[in-house]
Amino acid sequence: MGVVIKGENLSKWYGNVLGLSEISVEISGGIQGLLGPNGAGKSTFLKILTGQLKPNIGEITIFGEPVFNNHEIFHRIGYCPEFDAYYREVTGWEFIRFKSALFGYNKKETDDRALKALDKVGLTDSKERKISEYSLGMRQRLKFASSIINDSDLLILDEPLRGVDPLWRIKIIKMLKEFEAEGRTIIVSSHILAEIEAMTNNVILIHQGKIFAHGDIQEIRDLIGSHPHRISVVCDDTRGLAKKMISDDLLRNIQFMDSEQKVIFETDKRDRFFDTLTATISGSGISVSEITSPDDNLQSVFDYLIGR
Amino acid sequence: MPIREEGYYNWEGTLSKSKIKWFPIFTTGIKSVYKKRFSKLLFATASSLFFVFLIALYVSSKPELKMMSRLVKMISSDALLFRTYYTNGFLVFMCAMISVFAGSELISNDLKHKSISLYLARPLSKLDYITGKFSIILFYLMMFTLLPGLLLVIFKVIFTGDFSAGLALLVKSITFPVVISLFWASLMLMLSSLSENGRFVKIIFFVAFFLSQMIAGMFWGIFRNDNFMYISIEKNIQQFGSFVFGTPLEFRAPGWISGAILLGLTALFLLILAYRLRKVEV
Repeated sequence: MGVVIKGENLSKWYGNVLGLSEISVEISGGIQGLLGPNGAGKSTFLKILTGQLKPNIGEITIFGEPVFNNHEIFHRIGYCPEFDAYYREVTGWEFIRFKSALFGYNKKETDDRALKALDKVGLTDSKERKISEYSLGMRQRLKFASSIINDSDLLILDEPLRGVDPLWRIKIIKMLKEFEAEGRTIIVSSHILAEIEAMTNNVILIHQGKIFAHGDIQEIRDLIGSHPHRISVVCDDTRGLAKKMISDDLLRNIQFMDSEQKVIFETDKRDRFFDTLTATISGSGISVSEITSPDDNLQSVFDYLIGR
Repeated sequence: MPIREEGYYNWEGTLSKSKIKWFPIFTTGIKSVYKKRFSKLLFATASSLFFVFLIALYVSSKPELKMMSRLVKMISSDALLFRTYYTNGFLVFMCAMISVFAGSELISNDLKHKSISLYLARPLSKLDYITGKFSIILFYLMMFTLLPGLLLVIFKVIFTGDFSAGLALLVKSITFPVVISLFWASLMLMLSSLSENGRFVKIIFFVAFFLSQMIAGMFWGIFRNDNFMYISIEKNIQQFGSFVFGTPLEFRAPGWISGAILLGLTALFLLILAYRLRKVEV
């Protein structure tokens, strides 16, 4: 799998404020979630990716080519910015057609691509309405449509689902997964972790201008040794199960929640724990109705990493 | 452990590219200015001067008609015709109005809506962006300066049956409105890049226009020195016009200096515009 984006020692300052600090990153195909709290450096990173900012230090290449001042590369990149970046007095069609025309297509291709993009986001019927009459979700979909006009190899989306209704959220996520299956690269920035989790397990966590973690969320979780895994088990005999699970070095803590018939185990050795748990349950006659791992979600990993 | 195995492919197709990348900005801008409220009224008012000159041209070809004698005298030669038309106070003011109408929001609106990022995330350079915006103002300015000027030449030939203007004069009559339009367009775009507020841009533009005349008039009144007329935008345009067309100068001072001032200011405005856009990190 080829490297699509390669950044080396990227640093960006805004006066005395640090935007990015010595970020080195390699991104291959597929959907890549870009996560971080507000002010973490996500937008700075995306602006550097889209050639709108030049890093003070470091270099970035996309498809092996430099980005800054390399306008031709944008034939292969689609970008959906964070802000509502359009004139509201024009119609949806005028907006999307103009954005299509900026790629330099001939008239027919411009119209065809604009129509296709509008159709994909379900705005064909309202294309003649002024953007000022659109809801936030419709404007967001229109913005998303403008980023997929050129069937780009790389799609960069800054908070693409903000304000989009649940139905279209699902449709857009499905569309992005289809793009991924076609072999495209998609970078999605968001601070809503559930959105990212619905799209991909592969994330870049940015905080304070640095990349805190990059890779598969489960693998990242496994590397966080300082925070034990929590496994919740709902069963008819929580204390009996706990008694059988106790061994010298497997558990760090056990917490009973009798009202919910739940027991929460804390362990540093997740794989061994699950082996033991499976063996214990199968031979004990205890009836288990639920096993969950609340720490394995993105929110927990994110909280651990940024020290919340 | 690999996360996925779909594999990335390199696209090897041929892109259909337009050489005039700024053209969509131009066409879209032209339409949006035309759709603005009061556009027809403004354009009709700006064209009225052409029709006055057209009647005067017709009258000048018919000595038996005793009307508009003053204007007829002012356009008695081709050089005077162009000079009087292009540097007419009404047309200068209308050029200022058209610049404001067509250009005050061209960049300020993009700044306000943060939409420059959408332009620059396309295969467009900042130069393409500026050129596209520039072309919109230039189109409307030339529609009411260069185009009517050339039409006057054609009608003069039709009315009088001869064309006495030489090639040099014809070149001057094309170059002069282009230079003046470039001046107005660069001033307008530079001001538009300074603020997100289009109304503020309009006010600053008119303040600059009228203040230059007021200050020039004030200093001239105090010191009775014609050199102070170089402060006025309108007087510089008129002086430069007189210089280009070889007609009596507007005030007693070298005419080429007005040309140098206008060209120098145009260059300065473009530099400021480029600097502003370079600073815009969208």
